[in-house]
Amino acid sequence: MKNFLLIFLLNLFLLNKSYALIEVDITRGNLDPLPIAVSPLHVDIKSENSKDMKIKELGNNISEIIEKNFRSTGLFNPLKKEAFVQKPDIAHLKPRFEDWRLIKAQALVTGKLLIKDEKLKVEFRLWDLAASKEMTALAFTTTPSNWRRVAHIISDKIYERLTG
Amino acid sequence: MILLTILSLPFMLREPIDLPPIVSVELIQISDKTNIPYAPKARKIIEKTKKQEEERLVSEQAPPSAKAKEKPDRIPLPNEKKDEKKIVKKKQNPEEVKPEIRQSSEFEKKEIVDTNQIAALIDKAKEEEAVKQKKTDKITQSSKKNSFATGLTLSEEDALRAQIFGCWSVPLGLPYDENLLVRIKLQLKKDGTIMKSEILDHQRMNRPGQKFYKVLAESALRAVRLCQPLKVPPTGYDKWKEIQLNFNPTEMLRG
Repeated sequence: MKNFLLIFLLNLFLLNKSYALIEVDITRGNLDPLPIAVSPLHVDIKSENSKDMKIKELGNNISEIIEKNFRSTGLFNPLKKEAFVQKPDIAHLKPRFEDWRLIKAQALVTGKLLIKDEKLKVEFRLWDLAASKEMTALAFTTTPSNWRRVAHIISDKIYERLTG
Repeated sequence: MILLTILSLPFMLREPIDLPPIVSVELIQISDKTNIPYAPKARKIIEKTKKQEEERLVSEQAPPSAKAKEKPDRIPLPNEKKDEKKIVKKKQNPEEVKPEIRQSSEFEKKEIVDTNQIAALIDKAKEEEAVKQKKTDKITQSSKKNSFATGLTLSEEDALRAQIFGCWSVPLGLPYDENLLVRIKLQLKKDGTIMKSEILDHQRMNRPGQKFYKVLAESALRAVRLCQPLKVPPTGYDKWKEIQLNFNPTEMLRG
C-alpha cells in the first residue's frame, strides 16, 4: 500500500515537470529557384566505340540538355560545372554529400552511359543532398541515335519527382 | 489503487494549472500600487508561516524609496533569512514554482529557471527581479500570455522562424486549395542540432494523388536539415528539446 502511494506521488511529480510541446508555425519560405547540380554523365569503360558518334561528348550533351530544361522551367537553378567538387564517376556511385552541400546545392543529378551491342544504356540518379539519400534512379536502354529523347525523358522524371 | 491513481491524476494535474493565473493577477495588482515587486512575495511567505508577521508588515508598508534600506536591515538577521530559505525550499514543488516563473519578466526568466533548484540563490534572483521588474513592468504583463502559450518567448520564436524561412525553398506548383500542413516533430540536442526528425502525417505521403504532399514534406525536412544548428535559446533545454514545426505554405501561395 505504501509502495502504491509512493508510485502515485512520483507520478504526480514527474508528470508535472513535463512541458507542453512547443509548436512553431512556418508560413513563409524561400521562393527562389531550387539550386540543383547536374553532373555530366560519365561513360562506362566497357563501352564500345561507335562509328558515327563521339561517346565522350554524349555524356556532356545529355547533361546540358537536362540543365537547359531545368533552367527554362524557372523552378530550378542549375549550378555552374566549374563549382563541382567531385568527379562524375565517383559521384554516381556515392556522392560526398557534405561537399556538395558546400556549394549550396540541394539536389544532385548523376548518371552513367554504356554503349554495348549497338544499344545505348543511360542510367541516372537523383540525390537529396540535405537528407543524404537517393530520391529516384532509373535506367533507359535505346538506340544510340535516340539520346536526345532520353535526355528529355530524364529531365521530365526529375522534374516530376521534385515538384510533385 | 492503480485505477485510482490513473483516474485521480488528471484531476490532480488540472487544478494547479488553473491556479497560477489567479495568483499572478493578485501579485501584479499589488505591484502596480506599491511598485515594489519584492514586497508582495514577502507578504506571501509571512502569511504561510505566521511567525514573522510584524517584521514583514513593516517592510511592506515601507515606501518604494526605502527599498534600498531594506537590504542592509535584512543582512544582519541570519535567523530570518534561514527561515525564509526553508520556506522557499518547501515551495520547490514544481506546481508552486511555476507561477513565480510566469509572473517574472522574459529577460531574467532564464536565470530564474536555472536558479530555481538552488534555494540559496533565490533571494538574489528576487532582488534582481525587483530591480528589473520596475523597469519592464509593462512588458512583463503583455508578454505573460505568450510565455504561457509556448514556452519560447516571442523573440526566440521569431529568431527560429526567421532562420527556417531562409532555408525553406517552397516547391512551386502546389495546389493551393488543398490542405498543405506539414507537421514535423524534432528532437534537438543542446546545441540546436537535430537528433531525430519525424513527419507526423507520413502516411499521407505515399497516398495516390498526394505526390505534391510528399514533395512538400521533403522540402520542409530539407529546410530543417539545412538550417542546422537551429537558433534555440541557450537555456531551458527541457522546454525545447522536443519541438514541433508546422509548415504551411497556403498563405504564401495565395499571395
